[in-house]
Amino acid sequence: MEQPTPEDRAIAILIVEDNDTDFIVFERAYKECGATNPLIRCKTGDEAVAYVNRRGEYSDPARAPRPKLIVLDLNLPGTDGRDVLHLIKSDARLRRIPVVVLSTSHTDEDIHATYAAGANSYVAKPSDFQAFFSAVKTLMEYWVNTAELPWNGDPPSHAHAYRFDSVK
Amino acid sequence: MPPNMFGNRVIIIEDSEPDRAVIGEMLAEYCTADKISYFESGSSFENYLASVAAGNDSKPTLILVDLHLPDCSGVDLIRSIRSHPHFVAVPIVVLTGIVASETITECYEAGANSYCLKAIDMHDYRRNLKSLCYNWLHLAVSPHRDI
Repeated sequence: MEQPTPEDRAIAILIVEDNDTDFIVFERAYKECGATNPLIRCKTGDEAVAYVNRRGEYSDPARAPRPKLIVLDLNLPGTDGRDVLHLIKSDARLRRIPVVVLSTSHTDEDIHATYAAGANSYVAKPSDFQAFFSAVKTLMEYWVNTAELPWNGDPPSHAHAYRFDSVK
Repeated sequence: MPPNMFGNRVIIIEDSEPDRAVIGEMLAEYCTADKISYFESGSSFENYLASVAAGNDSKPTLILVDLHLPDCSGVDLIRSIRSHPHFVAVPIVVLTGIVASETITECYEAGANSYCLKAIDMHDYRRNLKSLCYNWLHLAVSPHRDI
């Protein structure tokens, strides 16, 4: 099995978000953290499931790299974010990938159930534009520039195209 | 700053005194001193788990765990915390000097929520801790808060 090289901090991030405005804000905040590679976006739970399982149009690993981090909205059309989370965390090949849940739902039950289902973090999505922008910046600053992420199983050769110009 | 300091309660499983000092200093902004508990080994932490299970202690907002502990492997400890019925949802963040990719992956597989490095350079170490504290004790919603 090929091992990643130490300098391989290449990172592909998958965001599962149906709302276009939220995605635009997300992308802008993400770029402010020094990220240069495009985000991978899925608009529905079904698309996300196809993506992580490399089905259909996502079958080529070079074009659809396995993400090193997934940001997941809970309320999605079709397959719900909770189902996407459960599917990822019950799959031995995928469960190591950190999943950060971004949600407008603030109930204690939702928060507890989400962590218990294996979500790595739960961030309440603020309704205010500026607060949302700053929340995304903080979480990206942490997950991209501070935390060490697990090797996602992709051989390093697929990673070069998804490199950050400035990390740290 | 609200008087309850966001209702945070933090557990630190770490046997190195200098590390405890710098972590404690960075935590001060997010947590009152009486809400920070230090354990130097896996066995002393097991007593706390038992105390929570008996209803005599509160669940933490966050557990910070080192991988070098005198009496057990940090990875085994993460598995043991995660399999405890009262701790299935509590965020566990590894804070260690180990940079090996296999160890990082193993910790996530064992149920750690995240993994951060104790940088050798003190400036980087503090920067990492600052980002860690802000993310886990301010931004992220923990399942356990004393609010």
